[in-house]
Amino acid sequence: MAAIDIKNIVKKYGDGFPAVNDVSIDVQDGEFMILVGPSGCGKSTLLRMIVGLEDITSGDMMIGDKRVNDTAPRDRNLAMVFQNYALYPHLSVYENIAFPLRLAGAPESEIDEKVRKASKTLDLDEHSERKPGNLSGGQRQRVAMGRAIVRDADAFLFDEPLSNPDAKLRGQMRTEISAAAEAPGHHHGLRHARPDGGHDPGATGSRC
Amino acid sequence: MRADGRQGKDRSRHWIGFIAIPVWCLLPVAWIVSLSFKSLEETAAGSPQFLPKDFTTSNYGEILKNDDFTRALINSFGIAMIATVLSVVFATPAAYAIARLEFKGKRLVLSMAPAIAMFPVVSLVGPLFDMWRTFGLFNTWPGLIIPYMTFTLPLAIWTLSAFFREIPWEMEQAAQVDGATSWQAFHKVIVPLAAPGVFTAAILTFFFARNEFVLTISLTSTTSSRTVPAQMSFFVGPDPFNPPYAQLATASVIVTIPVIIIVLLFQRKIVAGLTSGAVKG
Repeated sequence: MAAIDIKNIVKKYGDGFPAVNDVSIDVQDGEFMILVGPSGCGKSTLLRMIVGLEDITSGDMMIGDKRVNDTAPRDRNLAMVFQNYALYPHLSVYENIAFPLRLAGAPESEIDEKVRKASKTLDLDEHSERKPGNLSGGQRQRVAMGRAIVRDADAFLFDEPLSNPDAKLRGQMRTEISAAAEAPGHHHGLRHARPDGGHDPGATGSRC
Repeated sequence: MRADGRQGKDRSRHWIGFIAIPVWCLLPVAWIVSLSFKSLEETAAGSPQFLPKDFTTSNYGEILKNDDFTRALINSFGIAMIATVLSVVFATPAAYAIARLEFKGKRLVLSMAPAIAMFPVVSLVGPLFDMWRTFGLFNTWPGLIIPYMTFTLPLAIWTLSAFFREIPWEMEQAAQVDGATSWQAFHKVIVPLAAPGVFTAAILTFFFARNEFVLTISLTSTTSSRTVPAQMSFFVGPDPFNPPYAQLATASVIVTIPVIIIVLLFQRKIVAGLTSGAVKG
């Protein structure tokens, strides 16, 4: 549960090209925030800098009151759904969702409870034992979401959550994300800052 | 009709291939197996026939009682196993670094690896023979393991780095965001995904070390370290005009069986498309 304060962030790649140039965004605790922009404008890069997968050239990345520029991704306590889901293909749906909890060393009973709850919310309970390779695109996306929402993260980041080509599924995901965001009592840990990449204004709503 | 006819012809061609290739490959193997069940008298007699006249398993009992041969079996297995384990253990992190990191000399390592693995063994034998006598490595296990590894290590690095490159980097990043240390990300996510590659590298390495002949015949002098391929060349029997074909064939069958078992076991591990479903469509 923390605000994200992005102060004059600059990201330059090796060739000096500024992928993100002097961006400042203040995301309140519990705020639902969407980044919209054309392809290549740096939305994903910004998300990756927040989560710690990309070095920051200059500026300050604040989560809560802490400057996290040099903090490893695992110590930032953020959850992220990757654009291409990045599921663990050798693990079952259940184990994919349980993965962050296991790494955190949570007791088995707690893991089981949280994973079952998330699976139920995401309509994945009957697929628990299946491997990602046997799932449809929409199911994979929900597994990726499940892996994020089981955690008690300070913020949840979604990279292009609605980029799925299937229009029906896109609608379903939109409903699920907003339900998850707007019903904080439903599962705790969801009403935090949520910067959200998405380049399709039609899909994410034309909020900027 | 015409299309059907053509298809039929194509299919019959397929069948010729399906039958001809296995026959071509397996006939010598079948011949060796058959030989191993023949008596010494029968192989010495002229006009051989395919199936043994009087079927005997005495060759197997005899050869397994031959201490030189069982010792060579142990040498072969031990040397190949140690070379394989060391190669895979060293090659896995090396290949991982090559696939993931940018560092100076990476291209050089990648281009030199196959070049070294294909280096003609014969050119090394002379200098190695002298060096190993000086270092006291002549006719020892390490004396064979070290030169084997100079071939198997680059081979394993080359094979494994190709496998590592196939694993989406985001797997690892997702693990880091999920709270994994670099080591946890490596051994909980990357290693299981790379397992088929590791098995492939291990099999290639093991077979190279097991089949090698030139080094083992040159760098060993007694059964204390001589491997099966070298030992078999010493099976001459008492009569120079009647080589012990049946015994040689029996030895071949015995060394081949574990290889077949290993391949069958590992084949299940080498499943293509293990990473399918990791990323979107």
